[in-house]
Amino acid sequence: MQYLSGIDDHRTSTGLDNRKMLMWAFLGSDVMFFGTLIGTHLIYRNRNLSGPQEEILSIPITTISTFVLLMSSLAMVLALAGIQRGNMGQFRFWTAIVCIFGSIFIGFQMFEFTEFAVHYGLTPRTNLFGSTFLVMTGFHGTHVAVGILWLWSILFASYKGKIHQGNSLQVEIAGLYWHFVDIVWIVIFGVVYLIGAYGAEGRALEEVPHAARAVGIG
Amino acid sequence: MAANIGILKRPVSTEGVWGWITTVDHKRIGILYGVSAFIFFLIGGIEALLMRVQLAQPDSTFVDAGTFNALFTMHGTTMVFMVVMPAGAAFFNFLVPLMIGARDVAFPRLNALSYWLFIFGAILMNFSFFKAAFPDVGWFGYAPLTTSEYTLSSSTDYWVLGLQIMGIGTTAAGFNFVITILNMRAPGMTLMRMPLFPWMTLIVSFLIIFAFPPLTIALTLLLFDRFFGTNFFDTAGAGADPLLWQHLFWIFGHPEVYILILPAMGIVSDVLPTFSRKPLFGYTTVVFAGAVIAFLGFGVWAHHMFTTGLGAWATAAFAGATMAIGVPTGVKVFNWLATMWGGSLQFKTPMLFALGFISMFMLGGLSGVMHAAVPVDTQQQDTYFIVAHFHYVLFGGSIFGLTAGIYYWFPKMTGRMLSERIGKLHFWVMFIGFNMTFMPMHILGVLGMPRRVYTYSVEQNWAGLNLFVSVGAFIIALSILLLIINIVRSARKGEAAGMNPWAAATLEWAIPSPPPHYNFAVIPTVRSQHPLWDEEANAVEPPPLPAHGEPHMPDPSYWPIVVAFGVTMVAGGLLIWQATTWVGLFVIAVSGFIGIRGIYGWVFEPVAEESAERVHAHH
Amino acid sequence: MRNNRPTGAGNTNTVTTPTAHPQNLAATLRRLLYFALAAVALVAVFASCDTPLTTFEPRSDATQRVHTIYIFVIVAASIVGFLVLAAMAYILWKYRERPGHTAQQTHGNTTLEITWTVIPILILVAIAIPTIVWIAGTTAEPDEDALHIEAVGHQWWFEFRYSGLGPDGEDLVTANELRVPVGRQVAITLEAKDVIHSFWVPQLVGKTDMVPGRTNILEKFTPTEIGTFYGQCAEFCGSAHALMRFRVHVDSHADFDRWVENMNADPVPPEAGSVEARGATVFTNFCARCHTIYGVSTEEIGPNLTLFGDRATLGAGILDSTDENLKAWVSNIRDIKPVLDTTNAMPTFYVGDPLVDQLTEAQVDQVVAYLKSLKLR
Repeated sequence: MQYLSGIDDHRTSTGLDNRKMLMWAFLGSDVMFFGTLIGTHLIYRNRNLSGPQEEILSIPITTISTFVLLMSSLAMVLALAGIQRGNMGQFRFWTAIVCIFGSIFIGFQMFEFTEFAVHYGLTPRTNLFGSTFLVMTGFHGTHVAVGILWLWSILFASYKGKIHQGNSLQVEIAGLYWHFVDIVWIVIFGVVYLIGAYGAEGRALEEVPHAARAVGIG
Repeated sequence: MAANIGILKRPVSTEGVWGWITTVDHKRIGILYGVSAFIFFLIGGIEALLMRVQLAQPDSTFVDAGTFNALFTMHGTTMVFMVVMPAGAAFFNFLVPLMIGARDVAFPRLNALSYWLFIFGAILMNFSFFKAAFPDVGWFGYAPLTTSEYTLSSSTDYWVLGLQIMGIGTTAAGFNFVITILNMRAPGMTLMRMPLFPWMTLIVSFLIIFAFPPLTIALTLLLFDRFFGTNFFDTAGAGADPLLWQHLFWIFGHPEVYILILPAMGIVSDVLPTFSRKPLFGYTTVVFAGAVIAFLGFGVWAHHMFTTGLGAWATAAFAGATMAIGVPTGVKVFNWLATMWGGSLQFKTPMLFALGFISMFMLGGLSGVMHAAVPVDTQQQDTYFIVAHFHYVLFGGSIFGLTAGIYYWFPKMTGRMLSERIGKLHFWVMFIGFNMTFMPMHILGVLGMPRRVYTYSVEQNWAGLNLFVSVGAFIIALSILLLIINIVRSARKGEAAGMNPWAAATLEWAIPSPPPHYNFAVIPTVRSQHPLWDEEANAVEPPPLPAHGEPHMPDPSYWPIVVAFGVTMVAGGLLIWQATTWVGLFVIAVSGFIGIRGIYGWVFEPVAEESAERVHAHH
Repeated sequence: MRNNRPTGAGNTNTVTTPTAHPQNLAATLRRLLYFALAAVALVAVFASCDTPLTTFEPRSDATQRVHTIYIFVIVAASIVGFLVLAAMAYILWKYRERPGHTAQQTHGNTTLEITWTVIPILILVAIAIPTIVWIAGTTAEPDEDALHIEAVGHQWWFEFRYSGLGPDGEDLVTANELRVPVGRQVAITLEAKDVIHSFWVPQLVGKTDMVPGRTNILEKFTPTEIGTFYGQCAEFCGSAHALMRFRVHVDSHADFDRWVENMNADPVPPEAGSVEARGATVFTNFCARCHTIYGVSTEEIGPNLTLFGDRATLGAGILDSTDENLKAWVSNIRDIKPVLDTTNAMPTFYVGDPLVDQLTEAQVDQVVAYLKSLKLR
């Protein structure tokens, strides 16, 4: 055994920055978080005793909001490319776009929730669909809102000189989070909206609740 | 710079109470965890003794049904979440950085936050005792008994919120240790050179970050049901399925079992070689057996639900998976025995507890295999046979293993030895008391005594064995008293430990006891699994501090406790909201603000001015 | 402190505490042996007691099948446990630290490790096979002449509904004491009214949970012996969980048929002016709000009390059905067990305080006499 002569050695064992690895670990954990929420929703599909269910989901409107959210991911890529090259103008512009697109997505979601409540009388207390769908998408919306707050904070800090090319890792980590939240939405859009809307008409994926029943759930 | 952040300047002092409150030093946080866990161990133990007094004779009226139900609920919740987990965390915190050759964990302030969330959550849950009553729904809180339709008392709200807060803290600690172990190892400390304890910590941390989210969701859904009228567990009104809770809980709950036992396995795997005077037999096998146990641990949850009507296929599959998990566990036991084979065994107190661990845990494992046989489980499920089984695993396993760790590392943590005489007495009293308490429970289970009954009648003929068990429980209590005496004695006149009192092989023994706050004056380079045994050429005497002074360590911080306080008081606000809406909303708003403000303060926290000067002076 | 390489006892001189003496170890092992013998003796004493919930005296084909596997796994686990503990004791003795003995610096042995991976696999496969065969067996359809019963768990009592045996082909309902004929297969489906309960009669059938919103199928069983067997709720279901018990009476075919016939026959009204007749009036005015007696009342909130006089127990199997116990029960159930906080809970009828009493002491005596008179003819 031998001792190094330096005191503070900032190299990490894997070469990855600690904070970046923390974000990856967090996202791994978040997969279980959303997996459980989406699983709960699927297990409770078609168990409602009353009230509206999947047929009220609007595929056209949600397609638009999904598209907006996807585009925000593109903007996130451009923002990160900007700050990594030291182009603060590009970084600030695209970060603002990410925040705006994210806010538009939240706006769509608020519209959807209001629409459900006003026209269909669907609240989390109405039936199982109301509980599982609104809590699941609500948690996703919360994730998006946290991301927007985070990116606004970064944008603001960049004007104070606290975010610059030298610590673009901060932006990269926020970007990881943002892309993940997008991916979760793609899963929700696919599994809950598309399959749900078809399933409501009895056309596709009878297998999901069936399989769930086979292992004793649902 | 600090001025524009607001009210709180970054603290500098590490002295006194404030030094402990603002500490981010992994060793101090480890001690905080350890002391807290020990206090809760006494509380959980008293709960157990009260239950044993009640059950010592038939038709007893020592406590009533409600009190008894609260006692076993809090005994289980306390021992799992407030004793064994934080005791494990105490060892993770104190030892992992030392064993892998690091100055601290990857995120010292996050580490402090984990501790404060744990202790605040634990206090919040126990606070229910003063406000309403202890939670009384069982430690796994099966729906729909926990919904407001069947549990009117707010005690369940305290249970849900307390558990939720502790869970957040634990998950944060899981992240921290994954990254610490993957990223903060000393040069040359490859993964396959790490001692077993950090290895098991790494595996446990992965289990935590993947197993806790399902619990978080389950608790959230129950919380929403109870507070906001959602329907997740409303069977009668909305057609919900009560088994959803069981699935979510046990998807968390079974990995949790391994979260509780793997740290003890790690401790034993490091204690045995030291006192056998030879390396661990089949190091690679033991590491991979741990990983396989953890992986399979995610696929066996439904063996807690064999009697719920899962259907034949699911039952058969989970029975098979459960039996499969017995294989790596058995392999570990054999490797431990082979470690001792050919050794020169020193029966010091840590070794005695490690041997107690191996034998008692093995018996618990064997009874575990018995209820993996589903037909047998239909007779054993929810009887005292199960109670006996999991106490053999969690007491005979975890507690014996953790106690081995206490006796092994106490000299490192405090710089003083514990008495071997009292220690050995402690072991024998605990070993005998343990077996007197839990061995007869197997028979009670075979004789049909269901768990969680507050009373039984004379005609059931369980009285004699129950009295015997209760006597055993008090003998265990006596052994804990011996531990306390030993610690107090050591604090007063324990002999100095020196750096390496056990002549052990791993890095933590290469620095003074107790370690200086920067751990290693100079970070070592590691060349083998047993740096203190293998490298005769290199003296293990730590080199003196370099001329430019102490290494710079992270400054203390107020923000972890502020954020933890904010989060906990949001939960407190929810509880107040149940009674008085506006007051509750006000508390939620204020504490939510404190929490968010704390996060911003945390993110933009500068280094303390004094130490900033010090750093600049060096550059 | 310098090199600690553990090449021998000599190198451990740096350790300050004394080492264990072999004599101590031998004494310790001997003490352990005595302790184990004492424990075994104790087990023998207690196992010989008459414990009605024992899982080790099967009295049906189902529990007999389980018992065979149970014995097999206990024996297998005990052998493994004994061998490992014996090996451990041997190692501890043989390799204790002593002068002139040094530790061998072995690191592993692949052949050995593969061996002790394969051996547990073989043992587990040996346990898995009967397990899987048993599970497959539980999916069989019930016999054609099986007795079909629906058992419903309530906080905190059991309701039993015999399909098609009641008046007009309805269910025949009874509570807390199940009657089945010997030698005929019983097929029970399980439901729950409120929270999760579990149905368990250790000598007749292993447990299966009663889950609200689901219909679970209990393992089919054929009782092989006439007698009374104890059952108990085995899933924690709230404050009175411990007091949620029941009985299963396995009768001869003739006795069972007579009981079914009597359940269906309208009860003979008590002689006018007798104590029982006054009790019947009290029952109609108070008890009938919740309890059914066929031919007298129809509410199903509480347990069905038809032929109550023939029950051995009251209060979900917790008390012998004596006059005093029944009187105490009717007067103030809260003295005996916890009750629900809902309007469905049985009221307190008599505590000797005219302000709260719904019944007088005399009325309680009358209704007790009436209930006890509801017997088989």
